[in-house]
Amino acid sequence: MALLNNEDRRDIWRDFMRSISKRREPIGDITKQQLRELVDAADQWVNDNASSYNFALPLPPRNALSAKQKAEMLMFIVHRRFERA
Amino acid sequence: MSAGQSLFYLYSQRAAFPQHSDSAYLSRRVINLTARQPNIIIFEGVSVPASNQWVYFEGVIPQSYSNNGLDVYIYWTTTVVSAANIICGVAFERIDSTLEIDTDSFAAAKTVTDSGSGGGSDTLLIAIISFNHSEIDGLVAGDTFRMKFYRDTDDAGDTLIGELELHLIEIREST
Repeated sequence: MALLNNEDRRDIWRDFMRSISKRREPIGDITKQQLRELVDAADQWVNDNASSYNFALPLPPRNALSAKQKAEMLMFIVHRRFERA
Repeated sequence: MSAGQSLFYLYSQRAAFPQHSDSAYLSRRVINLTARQPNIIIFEGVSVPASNQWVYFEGVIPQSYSNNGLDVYIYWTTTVVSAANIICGVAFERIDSTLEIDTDSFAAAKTVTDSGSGGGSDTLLIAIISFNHSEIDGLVAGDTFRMKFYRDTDDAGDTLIGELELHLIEIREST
């Protein structure tokens, strides 16, 4: 899967701000520009490590599932880990 | 003479929202645990699509105004306390019998940079923009006007991650 485009990254940037604003949660003295750099870096990391994730999967599902299905699985796991944190 | 005196207040619930106001919106939000529920206008840290977020107010300049200029007091809170800054701007437009009111003719906007670190969470902050008499589009006592308020989200100096919550605006006559 390709890197997200600028519009998608901007949406995530906004949605994250909405989320912490709704919780009125401290986030330290970082700027919103630094937060945008975080979005860019996280997306780049996912892109750079997609192959590593794929090769960590057991062979039958690795071959059977589409790239989108494997990404969805990863999304569910990360989301559940976020909820448990 | 009203130099230094409060002329009038512009309350959030009286604001008009342009259709393309992006993510500025009116909210009745509980901001602390004392059951206080003010009407506030939310200006997010990023606009999608990219542009500023603004709202309009209308009013009439009081008869007591004596051409000393206006000081605009902006009462705001933020959702995320931080030392980062917001930049917001104000512009005035005089409405007279010859003005086509469906076309903007605002005088040049003036901006202010204010920090979100004025205290603990939900502490009311005050930013002030001063206009001299020539900067308010020729407004005199009795004139009808529109005032535009916006958060300049695309300015590199607007660094606050949290939302700007606009409570009200007080207009004083300059001294």
